[in-house]
Amino acid sequence: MRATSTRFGALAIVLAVIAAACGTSTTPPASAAPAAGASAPAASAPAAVKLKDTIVIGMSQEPDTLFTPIGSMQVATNVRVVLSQGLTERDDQNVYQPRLAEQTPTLENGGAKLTKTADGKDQLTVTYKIRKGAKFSNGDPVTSDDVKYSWELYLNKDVPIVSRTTATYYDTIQTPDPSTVVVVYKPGQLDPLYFSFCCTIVPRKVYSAVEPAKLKETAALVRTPTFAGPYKVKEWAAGSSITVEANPDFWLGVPKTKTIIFKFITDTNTLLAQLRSGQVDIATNDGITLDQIPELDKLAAETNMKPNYIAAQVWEHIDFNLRDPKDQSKPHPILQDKKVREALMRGIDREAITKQILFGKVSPINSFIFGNNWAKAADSDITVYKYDPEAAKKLLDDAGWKPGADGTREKGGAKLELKLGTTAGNKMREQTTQVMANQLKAIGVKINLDLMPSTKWFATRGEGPLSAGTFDLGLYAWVQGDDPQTFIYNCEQIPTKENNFSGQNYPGYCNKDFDAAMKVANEKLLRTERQGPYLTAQKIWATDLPVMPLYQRLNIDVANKNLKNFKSTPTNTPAMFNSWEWELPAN
Amino acid sequence: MRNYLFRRFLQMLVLLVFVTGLIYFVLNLFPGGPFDFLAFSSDPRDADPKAIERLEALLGLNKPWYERYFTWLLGVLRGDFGVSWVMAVGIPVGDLLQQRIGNTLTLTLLATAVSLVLGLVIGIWSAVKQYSLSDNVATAFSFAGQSMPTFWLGLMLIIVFAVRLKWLPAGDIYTPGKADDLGDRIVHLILPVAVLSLIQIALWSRFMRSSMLEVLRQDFLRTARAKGVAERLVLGKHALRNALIPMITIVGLDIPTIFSGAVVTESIFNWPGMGKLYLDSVLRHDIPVSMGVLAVLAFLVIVSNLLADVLYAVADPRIRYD
Repeated sequence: MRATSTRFGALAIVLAVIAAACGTSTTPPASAAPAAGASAPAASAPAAVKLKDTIVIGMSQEPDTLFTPIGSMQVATNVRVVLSQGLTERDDQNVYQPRLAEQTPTLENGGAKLTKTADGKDQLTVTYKIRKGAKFSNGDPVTSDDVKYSWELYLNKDVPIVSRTTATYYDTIQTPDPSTVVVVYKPGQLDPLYFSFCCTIVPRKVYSAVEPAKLKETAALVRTPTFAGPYKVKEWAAGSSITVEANPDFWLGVPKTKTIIFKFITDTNTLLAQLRSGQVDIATNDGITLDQIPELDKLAAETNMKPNYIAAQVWEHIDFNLRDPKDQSKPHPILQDKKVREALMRGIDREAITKQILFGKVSPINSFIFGNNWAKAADSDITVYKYDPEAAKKLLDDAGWKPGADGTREKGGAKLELKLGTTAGNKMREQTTQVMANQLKAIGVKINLDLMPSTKWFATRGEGPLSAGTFDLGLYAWVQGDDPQTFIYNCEQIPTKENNFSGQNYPGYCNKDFDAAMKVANEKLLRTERQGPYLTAQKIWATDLPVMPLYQRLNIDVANKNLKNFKSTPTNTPAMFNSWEWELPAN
Repeated sequence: MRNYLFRRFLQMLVLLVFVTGLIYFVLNLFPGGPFDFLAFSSDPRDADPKAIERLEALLGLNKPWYERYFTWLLGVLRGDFGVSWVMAVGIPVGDLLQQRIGNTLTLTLLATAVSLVLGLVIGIWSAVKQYSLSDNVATAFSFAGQSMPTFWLGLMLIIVFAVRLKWLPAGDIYTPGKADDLGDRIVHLILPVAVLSLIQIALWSRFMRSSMLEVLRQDFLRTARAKGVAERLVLGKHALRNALIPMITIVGLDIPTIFSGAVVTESIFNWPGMGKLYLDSVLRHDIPVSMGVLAVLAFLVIVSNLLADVLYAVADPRIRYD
């Protein structure tokens, strides 16, 4: 008797909590509207719409620093972009807009010139004119000397600048007058993004006050930096948020919103809850994951929050290890046969995966240059491997792999068994690998999933399976740069013990014709001269099939639908790139 | 007692050096380094293998682990825990710990106080009124509480109180801009403290109940009642003091969790505390931060063990050390 009353009591408590939480599953839009933020707009007078003073942005992590040259986090770039606008900045269409500069210098408009040096090498010279009235957040004008100083800072060996490759391309920077910057490249060094200045611009007066080795430890310089841009840092509440306020001197016009607060919310469920309750107006794409799409649809139906889906400049793919995992000097016993690789490719239904697991928001891609990149090869120009399990089975039969007793194919006593490695903790990859393993089982290939933490998977210097070449199939993503220029499939980029496992050509792909075409395409400056060679290279690559291209990653961000001028971007350029134009009407 | 304490203190020092050395060794066994993310991009501007070497050299990572450990140890003896490598570039680890410890302490001390008071009261009541309706409700509640995952409970409370009813905020320690507003901070504490306490109360009330029941059966209580001592004193003075002794051990051993914080609760309520800091630092190869948190925790575990042993001796005159 007593035991049952206990059980009943427990059941009653649990049911009560569930009942309270579930309640009515759809609430009428009015009552669920966020507390602070625009609700359904009433008929408002077109003139003088009152704007909200503060916009709150939810990001998934706290930035490592705001002096982004020494940091590496996407969330740091999210904030940097409202604090610092460079000479030119990329917008959501991948066009470099002039910010500090009056005009984006190009070879076509004469801002950039290509000359030949005495010994016949090409030399690039790029001239920027700084706008009148451009000022740092401390009120000092931005001069060409500050631009030159910023470049010198990047090359200083005591400052831990993370990416200084572009800075090493320059020979000198000349400053004929305070508003003209002339960048002279090293002879023979061509850069397809010559109109994008290497370095974040800082005032010499402020940053040369400490010795370079102490720079990263000086809070005033790295936590509340002095930059030239639409906002300046008001407060960094460690662990919680960064508050920035409008810079009234911003040369492109006073920002329409006075204050922006960047909150750090690590749990995606909490982020969604704060979107619903109106505590957050925008959620950046680093914080939202794919498996929340059903929740986002509900959010859009019940509140003012609108999710934006953009195919990112990041592509998921499966690398074939063309080398023997046990002895990288030999070819892979199974995968060196193109018929097998083609069979595996044709055995996977990429369309179905994008429809079911990615909710139909992206489509399969067929090359390492994809999306709206100008150098992308059309599907009609390259070999495209469509899903065809019957053709796949025939290819495997032709290659000598005959079905065995347990369904797995065999040849010469060996089984057609492969390890598919990828990172753990990634919902999308966990689901897609399961689906792929099943699809490949249907054509007689046994797949063993090998999930591991990303720190192990991507470990360089031979410490992880990719760089050591000990994988069979590897599922991961590459971030593509602005420009299609890349060396990751060149012969010399294969990581080996001799070169200390440096290099990113993890499949171990080497085709001299491919290298030759890429060399021309990577080194020329004009798109007209590069497009042909990139097409040739993509044709060769698609025919050789060293890698199975899958699909683009999906960037999802969420913003109040009444927020004007908010534009999601497919690249690493954050949606904050035009923050000074944002307008959010107050109730 | 004094000899005992002195011996324990020496043991503590040796243990700390051994534990921190072992942890440093294990952390360095992790594959990869703090700058491996540079190889994630196919853009030649970002992915420069020489950059990884250059940046690691600036941090002194090209030296062997034992050399770096001794440098770290000497720094700690001077009070300098080093500088964060990647999580907050250039910021002293001591500063990071200071910010986070405050947040974690507020949350966990408050939750512990609430749990202690309510847990003891409910436990005593349950024991005294054994098998009554209120005892059964309390028992049911404690079963439910112990089976409930923190993650689920936290999210449920957020959905009910923050999203549907909008009575309370859905996380954070304060509304941005209102850092000094005490009322705002208290409002933000309600839900996370509730989550942490509910589960602790469920646990501790059970312990208290069974401890109390054992004492209530003792003969000396029957003697006290026979002598005419008021029931209030029988329970409050004689029974309770003896029932509290095992509780001291249990609470004492729980003290380290007070400082390590509840990682899950901190994640759901976006509470910047030690638990989250530690998790992030390990995943991102920020060894100075990981070591800072672990060194502090190791110290606290050892000290709290000592404290629990001492308190036990104080509470129970039958226990004596020498």
